[in-house]
Amino acid sequence: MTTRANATPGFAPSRQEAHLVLYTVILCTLPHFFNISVPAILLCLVLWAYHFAAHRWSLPRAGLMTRTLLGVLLFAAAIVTNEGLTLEAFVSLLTMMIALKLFEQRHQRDEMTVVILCYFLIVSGMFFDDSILSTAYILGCILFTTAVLIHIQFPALALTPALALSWRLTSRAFPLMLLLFLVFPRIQGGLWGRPALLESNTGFADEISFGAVARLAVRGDAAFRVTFENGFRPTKNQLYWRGIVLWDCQGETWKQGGQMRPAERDMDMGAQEERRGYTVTLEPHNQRWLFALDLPVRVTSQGSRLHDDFAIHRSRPVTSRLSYQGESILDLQPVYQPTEDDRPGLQLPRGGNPRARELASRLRRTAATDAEFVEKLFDFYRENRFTYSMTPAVAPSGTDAIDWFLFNSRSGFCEHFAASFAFLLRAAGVPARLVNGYFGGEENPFGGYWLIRQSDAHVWVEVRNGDFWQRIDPTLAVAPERGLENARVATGAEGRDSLFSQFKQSAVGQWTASLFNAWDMANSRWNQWVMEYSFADQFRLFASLGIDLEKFKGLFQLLLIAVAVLGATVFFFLALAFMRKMPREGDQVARTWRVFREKLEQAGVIAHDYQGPADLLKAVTAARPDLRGRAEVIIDFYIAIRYREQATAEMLAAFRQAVRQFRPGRPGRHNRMTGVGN
Amino acid sequence: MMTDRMGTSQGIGLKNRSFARFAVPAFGVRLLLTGHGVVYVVLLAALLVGSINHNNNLGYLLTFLLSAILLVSIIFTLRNINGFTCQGHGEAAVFAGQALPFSLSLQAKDGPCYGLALSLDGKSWVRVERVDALSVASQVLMPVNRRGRIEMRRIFAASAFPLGLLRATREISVILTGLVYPKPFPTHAGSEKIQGEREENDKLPLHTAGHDFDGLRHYRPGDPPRRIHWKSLAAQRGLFAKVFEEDEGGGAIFSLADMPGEIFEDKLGELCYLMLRADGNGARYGLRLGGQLIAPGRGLSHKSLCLRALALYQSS
Repeated sequence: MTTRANATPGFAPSRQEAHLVLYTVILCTLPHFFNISVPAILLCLVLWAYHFAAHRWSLPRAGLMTRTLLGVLLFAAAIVTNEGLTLEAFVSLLTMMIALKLFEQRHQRDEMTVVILCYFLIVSGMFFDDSILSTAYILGCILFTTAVLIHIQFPALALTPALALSWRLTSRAFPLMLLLFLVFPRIQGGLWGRPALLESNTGFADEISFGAVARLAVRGDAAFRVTFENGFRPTKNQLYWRGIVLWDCQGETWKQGGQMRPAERDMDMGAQEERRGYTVTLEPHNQRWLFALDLPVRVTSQGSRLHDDFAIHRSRPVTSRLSYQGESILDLQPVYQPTEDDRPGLQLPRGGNPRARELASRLRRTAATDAEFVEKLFDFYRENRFTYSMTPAVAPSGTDAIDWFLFNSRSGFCEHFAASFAFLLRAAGVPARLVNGYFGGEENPFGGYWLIRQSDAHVWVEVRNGDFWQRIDPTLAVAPERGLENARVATGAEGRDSLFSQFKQSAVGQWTASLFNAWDMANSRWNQWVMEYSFADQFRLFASLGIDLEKFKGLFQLLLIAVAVLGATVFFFLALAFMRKMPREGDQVARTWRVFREKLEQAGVIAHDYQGPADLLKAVTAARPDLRGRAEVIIDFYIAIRYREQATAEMLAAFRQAVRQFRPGRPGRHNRMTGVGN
Repeated sequence: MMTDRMGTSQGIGLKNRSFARFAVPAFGVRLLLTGHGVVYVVLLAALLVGSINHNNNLGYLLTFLLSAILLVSIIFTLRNINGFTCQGHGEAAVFAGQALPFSLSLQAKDGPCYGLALSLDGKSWVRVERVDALSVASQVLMPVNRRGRIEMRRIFAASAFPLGLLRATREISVILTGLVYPKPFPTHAGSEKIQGEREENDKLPLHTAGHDFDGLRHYRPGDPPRRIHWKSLAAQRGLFAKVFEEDEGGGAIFSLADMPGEIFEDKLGELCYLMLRADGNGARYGLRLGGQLIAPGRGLSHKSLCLRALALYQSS
């Protein structure tokens, strides 16, 4: 048996417990190393190392002053290294504060604070990654953190049984969690603006300059996934995913430019049967546009609309995964809209790139039509041995980037080809614009959907041909293989003859490919069913239960909250009712006796808990002689019930009756009376 | 003993009242968030707001998981706090002004219970790390200032098991009895003399070896150190005590009526002081309390008899 006196304020934690807490902190911080800045990581590591060393070799502990100073410094470091008040800054601040708090562990309660903050830290991982793997890791961390929380407070429960208990707690919490998850009302659009994640800012931007797409294309992560309706399977070269349209040419940099105007209400183009429906699940990219298969005619997503250049804009940036339905007609050309008259697609910067301008006007003079001119441009790219590369040489500063690309380096990525091509077109007086999006995608045989990765990022040109805009892709003229493979493979970044590509051909390679597909499908399903569970799904869920939320409209959210709260309460009381052992506490005699004593106390009879009934009678006699007679009856009853062998139910009832009817007056009145009497 | 009767008297009111059986536990246990519990709940609220704002389903999932863990832990907390029985036993005795150590035995009903804190007054707590099916003994202290018999009928048990976020407090009916002796109060008062005793009744003729010295006998626990025959101990013959002739007769009787002072309780304290001094010297002594007389004697049982009489004496 272990008895510790005066345990309430906590006791100094042992070294083993301190290490456990450190491990918890490390486990919960590790996933954030992908999110926070390098200096923040280094600071964290230094603090941990010192903490560990301090335990091992009993180095001096940081005092209050040092800790405060360090805290301020770390706060500044977190803000500065993570570019202001971002989520990353918040997380790195949290990690560093926890690392600092580790030094202040004189009491058990300090350790508890650290462990509880660890919950917060690990759960905030939700903002960065919600894949299955990351969710599993977070759940594991919660399990471990709970076990540590139990173990440091109740060392009599060793870590292994604490883990078992933690598992029992967590597994029993699961049904309740599911219930809350399903019924808790989803508020569309959030409460206020969401702080953007730095990480996603590296995605698609609303401008293109040399090297921008190439930087994006090295990333293999998913951009979006698409499921086509009615088993439609597009061919590879149909997979042009339209993003934004760039009008504003500033040399090698192209921007969106101009105002954005919505398209005419429901562009009624093409036959109904030519429309292909699909669902896109877009990973957050923090931009205000969506992607759709060229050429989109309708997109169903709240706050989004189709513009006159067939780009789909959204009122708010996509900060969390988003699903929407689209309808497209393949091989249809964008119609020239009369609203575009003030934006003829001919704007160029005043000067710069003289050789390119000269080339454009020379070629245009030799061509009879615009179409022939475009052919001549294609020939120019083909004949001059342009090469497709993900890491082309960068133009020396001060030179005109397009001239340098066209006449010197002749090696570039899709944005080089597209931007220079469009520049040449405009220089010759042919209206042209750039479209930024993705090209390609990989079909997942298990899930029946197409996965479009960041490495499929692409830029192409649209040239105006009478009443239509015609898509031309100069990249394909130079690197036809880009039509078959994604950029990483096509540019040879993964080298056709490289070990990796050989590996992909082998049996093991095939096997890993299908493994990857299966894993991606699991993630996709996870996203679809769990991570994108939305208001609409709730609506359907309740409809299947026979509750039509439409009827309640405004009230329904309140209703859902009520249901959630009620569910939790009912669960709680059911749990209480089904507890195996019912405690039999506080017998009625004792409770009645206590009522009697409380009444006496109000009447001015000071009685202590430890005084027996006989003492009490004396106290009554001393303080309130007027009550003596009535009190004596009750006290006699009590003595009889308590200390005689048999107490009958009648006696008990009489005792309770007597106490109930015992109504002593206020002490003041009585005192005055005795005052007179004396 | 009263403790024995406890068994029969307890639960009388609960017979044939199944409703009471349910209602009592629900309200007999008080649940309160601890400081860390408050931190935890604030944290949950922050996570919920974050999840709503980002419309992040993983956030919802984890926030609800943590909330559910807190709710489910209530079951474990209640099971833990209700999962043991507590019984007082023996009778503790101290002098007034000291802390009375009540002995308790705790026994788990089902599985072990962890991290229990016990208290009589709800202020100072004694922690018991683990209670098993085999009974575990513990002590709770209660400072007492008043002479007499003390009976505690309830004890508080609290535990924040398992997470330390919620603290359950329960009142347990126990019967703890204790005896508080009067606080010794130094005095110079004398005693009644009996049977031609010496003048200095409380001084023993330890150093006047001669006619009174009767021989040696084996040491008995309780013999005053001054009577130990050190020579035989030094000669490694064992522990012996010196026996004096008058040991078996005579002795002083301290009388309440002889005590100086006005206050009744102080007089008892003086009596207690004299008695203890005589006991410390190994002298024979007796007490006269009103009409009650305790004949002179010595030894542990005699001492406790006298102290008990002092503790319980009431002037009529």
